[in-house]
Amino acid sequence: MKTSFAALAAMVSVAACATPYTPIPYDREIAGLDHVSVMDSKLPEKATTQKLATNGQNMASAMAASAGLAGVLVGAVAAGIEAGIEAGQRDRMLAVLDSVDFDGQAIFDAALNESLAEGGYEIDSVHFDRKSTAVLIETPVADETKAGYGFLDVAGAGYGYQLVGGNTEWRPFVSVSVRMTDRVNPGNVLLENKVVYNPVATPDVIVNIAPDGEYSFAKIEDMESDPERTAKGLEVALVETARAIAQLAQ
Amino acid sequence: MLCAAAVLGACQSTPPPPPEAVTDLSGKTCQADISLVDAIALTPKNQKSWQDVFSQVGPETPCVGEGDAAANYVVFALPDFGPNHVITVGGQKQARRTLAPKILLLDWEGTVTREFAADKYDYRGGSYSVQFRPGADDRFILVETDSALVGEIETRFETQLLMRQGTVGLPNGGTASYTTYSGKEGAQSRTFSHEGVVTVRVQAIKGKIGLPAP
Repeated sequence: MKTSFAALAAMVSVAACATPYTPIPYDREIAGLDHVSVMDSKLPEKATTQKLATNGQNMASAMAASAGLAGVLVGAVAAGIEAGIEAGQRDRMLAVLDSVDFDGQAIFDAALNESLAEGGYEIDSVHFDRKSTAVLIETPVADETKAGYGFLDVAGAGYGYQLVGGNTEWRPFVSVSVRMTDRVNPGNVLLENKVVYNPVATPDVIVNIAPDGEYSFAKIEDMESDPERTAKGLEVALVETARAIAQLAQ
Repeated sequence: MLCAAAVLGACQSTPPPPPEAVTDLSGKTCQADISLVDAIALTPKNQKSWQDVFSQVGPETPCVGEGDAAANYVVFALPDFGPNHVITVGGQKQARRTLAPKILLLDWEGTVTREFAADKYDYRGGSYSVQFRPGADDRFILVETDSALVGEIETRFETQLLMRQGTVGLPNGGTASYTTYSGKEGAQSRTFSHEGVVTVRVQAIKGKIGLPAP
């Protein structure tokens, strides 16, 4: 008996430390919704870029410029050089997207509504003022005439192209939060989660979508020479993210 | 000197290769029925609002069924006040394999109360998993290996951010520490396997695991 207990203990390990994000999984049967009111203005107005790794060359330049200073300042100078370079790259990427009239919000909305409709929901759109696209709207007003209706809000933390660093390439990313509440009782959260397309580090409880390896660019110049593919890569990322949200609501 | 040599030897040892997928259980003698007796409790001894439980699935893990339908299985006992919890349970992604999970919920008598359609399985962090709030009648999670999925190879493009810390000498004789981040990306192929690791994240929505919402 002791032997089997020891074996069981060795097979099972348990870990716990800082409190992680807690999602609320949706149960369609319990929720009883057949109509979804989708809140508008979900994504940031423009796409963006993010560079997640330290650029070795820029770090060396910063160290030469700040020789004798504390390490913390070396890091700050390097960050400043990076920020300046990235701002220029972002502007160039946005110019590429503008050149093909890319509208990320429209693409995302169409994919989300289509996916929800395919899942059997009636759809309409509602507007609430929001302070930031990155933050979910808190408790819209209750409407007792809307039994069977849910509020679906999506808060877009960001979307665009990211360069992780080293020998990696620019690839699309999308990061959103989603929440569905009951329109009769908006305090009743029926669904809450996050979806990340092309994640670099995510909690174990949110949906991760692997990027389509087809859409990558070694340099911003490569985006400039192929605007259609640049836009298509971001379109794929937004559509996949929208579909994942609709899937969470099934 | 001997000690130093021993330490050096330890440093030079190469780690074992990552385990391969196990796609055949024909060598195992399996039970006809699932046993709930050794269910692993998901309620911690000390009060916590969440915890992770990892269960190794290997040659000693019990299995059920015969022939191609044979499957390894692990049973977990859900906390009391189930609806106050979020459970994320699945097969962990390892270097070359992912445990192929088939998740069922059972009541006290072992009767299946809930199954999950294929589209409910998703990649969440380091596992291929389902996520749910237990119903009042759900008492156990049965994780079987899915013989229909075992052997399939999934290739996903993955991105990682790696952190490295170091120290650099300064002209004034001092030192400065720095942290650099580097990226890693590429297609990763893993085979769904009868063996590997089952991961369970248990989270109380309000309060502590196994207790009513305050």
